[in-house]
Amino acid sequence: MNRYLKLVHMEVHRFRYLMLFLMGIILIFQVGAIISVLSDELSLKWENPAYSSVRQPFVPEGMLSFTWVISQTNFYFIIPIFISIAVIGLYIFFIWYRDWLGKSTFIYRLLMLPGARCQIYLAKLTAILIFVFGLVSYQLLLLPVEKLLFQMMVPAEWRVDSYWPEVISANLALDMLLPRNVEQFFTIYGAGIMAVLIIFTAILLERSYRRIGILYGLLYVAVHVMAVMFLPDLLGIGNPDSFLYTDEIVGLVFGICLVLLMLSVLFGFRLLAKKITV
Amino acid sequence: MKRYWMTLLFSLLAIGGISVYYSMGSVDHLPDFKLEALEGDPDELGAVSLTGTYGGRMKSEVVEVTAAGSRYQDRNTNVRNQLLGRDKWFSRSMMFDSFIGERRNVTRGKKYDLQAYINEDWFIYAKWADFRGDSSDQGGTMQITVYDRKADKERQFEVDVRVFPGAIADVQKLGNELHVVINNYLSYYPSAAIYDLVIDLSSEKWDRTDKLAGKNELSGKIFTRNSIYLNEDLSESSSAFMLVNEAKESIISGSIGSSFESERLSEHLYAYSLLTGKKEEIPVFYTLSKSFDSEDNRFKTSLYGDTYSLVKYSVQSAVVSQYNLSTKEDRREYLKLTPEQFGAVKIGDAVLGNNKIYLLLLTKSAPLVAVVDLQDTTILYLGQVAYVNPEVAETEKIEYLRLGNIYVKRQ
Repeated sequence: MNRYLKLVHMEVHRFRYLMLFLMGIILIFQVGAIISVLSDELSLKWENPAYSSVRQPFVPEGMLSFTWVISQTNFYFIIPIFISIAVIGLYIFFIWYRDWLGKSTFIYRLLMLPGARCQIYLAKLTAILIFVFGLVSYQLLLLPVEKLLFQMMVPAEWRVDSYWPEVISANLALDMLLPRNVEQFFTIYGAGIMAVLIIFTAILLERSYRRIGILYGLLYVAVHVMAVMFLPDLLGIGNPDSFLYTDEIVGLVFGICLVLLMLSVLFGFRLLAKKITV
Repeated sequence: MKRYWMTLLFSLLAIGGISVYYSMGSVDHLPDFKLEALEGDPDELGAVSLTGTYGGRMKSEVVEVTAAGSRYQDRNTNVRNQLLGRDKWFSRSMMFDSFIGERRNVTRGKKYDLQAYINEDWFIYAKWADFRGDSSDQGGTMQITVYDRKADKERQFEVDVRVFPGAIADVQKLGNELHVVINNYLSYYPSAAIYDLVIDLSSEKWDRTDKLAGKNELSGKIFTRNSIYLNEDLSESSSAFMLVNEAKESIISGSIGSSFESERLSEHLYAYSLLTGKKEEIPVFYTLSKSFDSEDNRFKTSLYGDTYSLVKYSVQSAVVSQYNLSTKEDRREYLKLTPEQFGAVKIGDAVLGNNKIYLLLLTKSAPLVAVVDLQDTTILYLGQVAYVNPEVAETEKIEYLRLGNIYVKRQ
């Protein structure tokens, strides 16, 4: 356990500057956009207190809400979030390949460490999860700070309050990252974890069998994607003549996804333990 | 331990932020509603749901209100519900739904209510077991499942028929005869030849085929468009009628086989008796013409047993007419309902079902729902939308609730 935690720390430590960089651009883009939008609106309002660009059927005329500010800064929220997704997406590959690249192949040292090799695999997975959920939580933490900024800039008589789910649904990227339904949160991030595990196994296939391993890896990914995407239709979902009921099909699809997830982990462990040699 | 502070900080941030948000911050504070009875029997509302939006926020939220409570669409959107929702079109009947719940093994692979006949005594399901080819004279094999609900006995048999295996549009049982209505769509044509395929339930053999509507021959730019209207009544004795609509249309632009635009030249509505095989035209007044359908004036129709009902409605009134297909009694515009008689300002929507009219009535505050019996015109139910928790009235406004549609599930 201690060795696993040390490996997790090592992976987090290696990513720390990138993580701080991502946090920084999220802060700069979002806070900058909020200040810019509010400054424009408020300068016009100070000139003419009757002025309002806010056209909302249910919010009192001329009043500003934090939800409105977030909806006006959609683009500047989406850009750093998409950059973060792209960086972590690429790092899912880099977290393995960086150990093989460079002057001293670090992977040999890792593989020769005493204890089970599966800890390397689990540490890399844990690190990716910390990066993803860390950035999502950071975004959640940033929102109250941004709301405080809104309250500091807008006089109390010109503002109305907003609820958090309303604020989040006003932005396309936030709405995607933080669905209102908690079950949907587990479903999309569960699917994300499954995708990471499938890619990890594909990378290990490539590392184990080299050139032909690329083909194995691509096939492995393709089979899983096809299975998950087309399984509900293959089992007859939406067809009243199908033998299975819709709830049975949904249960089976979720069950099969869970089995595929576990098989990917076990296959990855096996490749790391038996096929990758120093 | 000191050297691990950054990892610990990121880990705590990852777990803490999301946990705190979903345990406390994700509550949307949207008010929940229900339908409360002002007068009449609340059981009348079992099949009714109202849909619309709730404002009071920057973005309106789609909401459905029933007697049991309300349901916000975004609050319940997830992959599981989206997948489960793929079977919503299978059934529009409450009795069929509850039978599926009780007898899952009997209805396994038999979940489409248009192919089923169900009442308190029987569940009968027809489906194609074999298609012999594209030629209509080759026909196919139909599999019939007959389940006696009282005796808990099931039998299944196959029948060879010489009718092109088109889409099954309705199944009715009349005594010992099973009537399976086939909608025989022709390639590239906008309408169908419609057949009533009669199967003897005792001998388990195909007895005869009656034609309800002919092929939709194209002559120049003129073609016919045939369709059927099914009976809502599930009781065996009064389900002998269905309606056949035959319309003649002219192509204005485009051509059949690709996209085209057409205008209606003429329209006839026929009552077809499954019992006698006879087809009789009903008065032109009841023809489902779009001539009186506009943004302000809308219409809905319903066939329940021997009675065909038509309601023409606008925001000011709903006027109901009924025609009895057996006795030919014509009760033209015999019932006029206005929002004022229920203490409302406008009619939001109207729907016919189960030989009743269901009205969504808009007031200056909470919307109302009225259910009126079409036979004796008595008010069966009057109810109003109310907050589940009345205390939210201090922070929310009922005016933000904008309901526009009423939906009634078949019983």
